Amino acid sequence: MVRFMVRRLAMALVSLFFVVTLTFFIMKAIPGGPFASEKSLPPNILAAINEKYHLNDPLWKQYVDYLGRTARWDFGPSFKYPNRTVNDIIRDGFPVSAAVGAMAVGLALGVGLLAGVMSALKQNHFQDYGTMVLATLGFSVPSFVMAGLLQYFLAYRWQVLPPALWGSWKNIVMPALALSALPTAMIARLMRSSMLEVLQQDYIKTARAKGLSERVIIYRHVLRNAILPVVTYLGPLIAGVFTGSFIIESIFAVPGLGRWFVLSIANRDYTVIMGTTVFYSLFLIAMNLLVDLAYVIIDPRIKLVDRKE
Amino acid sequence: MEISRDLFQPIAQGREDAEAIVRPSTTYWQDAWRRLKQNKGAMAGLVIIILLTVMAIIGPWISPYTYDAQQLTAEGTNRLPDATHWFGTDDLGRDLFTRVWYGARISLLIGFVTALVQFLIGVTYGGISGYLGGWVDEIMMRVVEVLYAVPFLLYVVLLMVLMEPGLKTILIALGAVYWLPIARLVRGQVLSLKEQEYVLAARALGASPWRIIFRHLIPNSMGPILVYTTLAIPEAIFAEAWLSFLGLGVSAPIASWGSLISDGIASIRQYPFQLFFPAFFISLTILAFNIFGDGLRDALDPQLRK
Repeated sequence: MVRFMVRRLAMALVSLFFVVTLTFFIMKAIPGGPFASEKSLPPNILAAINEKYHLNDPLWKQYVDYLGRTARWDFGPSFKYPNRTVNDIIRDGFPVSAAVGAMAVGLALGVGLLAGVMSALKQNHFQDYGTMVLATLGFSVPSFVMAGLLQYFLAYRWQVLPPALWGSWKNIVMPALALSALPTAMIARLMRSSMLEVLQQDYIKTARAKGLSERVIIYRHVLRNAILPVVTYLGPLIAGVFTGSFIIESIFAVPGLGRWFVLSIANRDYTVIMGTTVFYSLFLIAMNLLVDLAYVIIDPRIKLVDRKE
Repeated sequence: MEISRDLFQPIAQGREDAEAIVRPSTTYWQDAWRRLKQNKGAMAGLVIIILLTVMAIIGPWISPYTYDAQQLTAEGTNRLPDATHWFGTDDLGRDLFTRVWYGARISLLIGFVTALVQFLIGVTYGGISGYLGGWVDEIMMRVVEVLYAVPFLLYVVLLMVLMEPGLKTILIALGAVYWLPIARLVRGQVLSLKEQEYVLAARALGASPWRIIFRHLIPNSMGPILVYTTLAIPEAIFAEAWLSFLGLGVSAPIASWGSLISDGIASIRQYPFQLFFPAFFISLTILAFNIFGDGLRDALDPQLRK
């Protein structure tokens, strides 16, 4: 277990190193810098700016500097908004994104699990068909289309929620709903199929034969075993919700990290692009580690060891 | 009722054809196709996919308008759907019916081509990694694992910024990033298949690794690969739409479903129909591919064979 975690952490660090390196060189390869656009600056000013941001240093030195600063969690100032550092942007943007993301994941888990369980328990009844039709639809409607529809109906037609911007809890609802549609459908489908599989296992028969009540069987035996695929899905889901939120944040004008990322690409704001990319990768890696740990807690039979195929 | 011997009579049969197989043998693919045909949902999905493809080909052609012809008059722009403009017009007076089907061409093209690129890269990479095994496999899979830690779309975006904008770039960027799951899948399949006797036999006959991978191992793991590739198509369409939102998709006046939806959302308050048509067709396409892919999975899964 400990060996496994150490190994995973080491792998994560190597991955992160590659992410940082890859991002750095891709950014450097892109023609046109943040100061090359719009009006042309006088050459001496451009030189001074390049000097200030160390853009004149040899590439390897810039790279080593960048690695060192990243290791110290310092992504430097934004090129486009010099009075803000990338760390500020992450500190301001992440809680906003996290609030939307957490609500979306919460919704998806709550609704998806309920729907999946109900569907499995009422297999081939109308509840099952109804849920699965809805799930298939939720699977097929892209989140930004969902966002458009929500905005049109909830904000313009019926005017129950503000169409965009940030401030009160009401602003979280629509982005979270739009983001949660796909994962809800996915969780419902996953849960249904894994419930159906578990319900056919011999230990469920044993539990029934012992005379346990249906409630106990479902709660203690079926759910606990059936939820594992959903847990596996949670890691990529959380990452997906956070990357997917770029567009949702743009549509709803939510000042989260996703919007910063979009803006920074438009602005060629190197440091912000790199900072947010590294942050997202770190986040994704951490989530996958957590999922591995959650596995052990839910299913004590699973032992985390070095896999040797 | 009593059964006596004289109720039976021997079938006249020569010795020579006792071994002959009377019924035509059913191959794996024939069997799968038979089961797929019985699955109504999957067939509906297939029919929708074919219809959409046909419309994408002939749609812009049967319309009297071109996808980029503007009509900058007060009654030409933002027209509601009517007999002359079936899906209405956009803010530049371009006919949306034409643009939606023109966009279908682009979106479906992106879907099919990137799925093909992923298929080729993933199958080659995974096949080689799984068959060679040992340290080669170790290194190749570490590379995949590292790339997995990167949020896919971030890298598509970075590649898009790096290369010249345009359709070709989108195809390359999406194909270059999304092949990882297929490579993993193929490797897993190859790992389990390569211990089989027929591989040993092929090796004993002196077949090259290349031949074993592509003539024996890959065809035998085609089922899951095909399912995955089918499901990769809607994902690519989706990813392109996503890029359009970031302004990194196809550039105007070319339309894709993604760029049409992106434009539609911008004017949703006044002209919701401009969002409705592209949104409807992209959802229908993704739905069709998903139910077809599900059906294909059921049909190709050997465990479900009766």
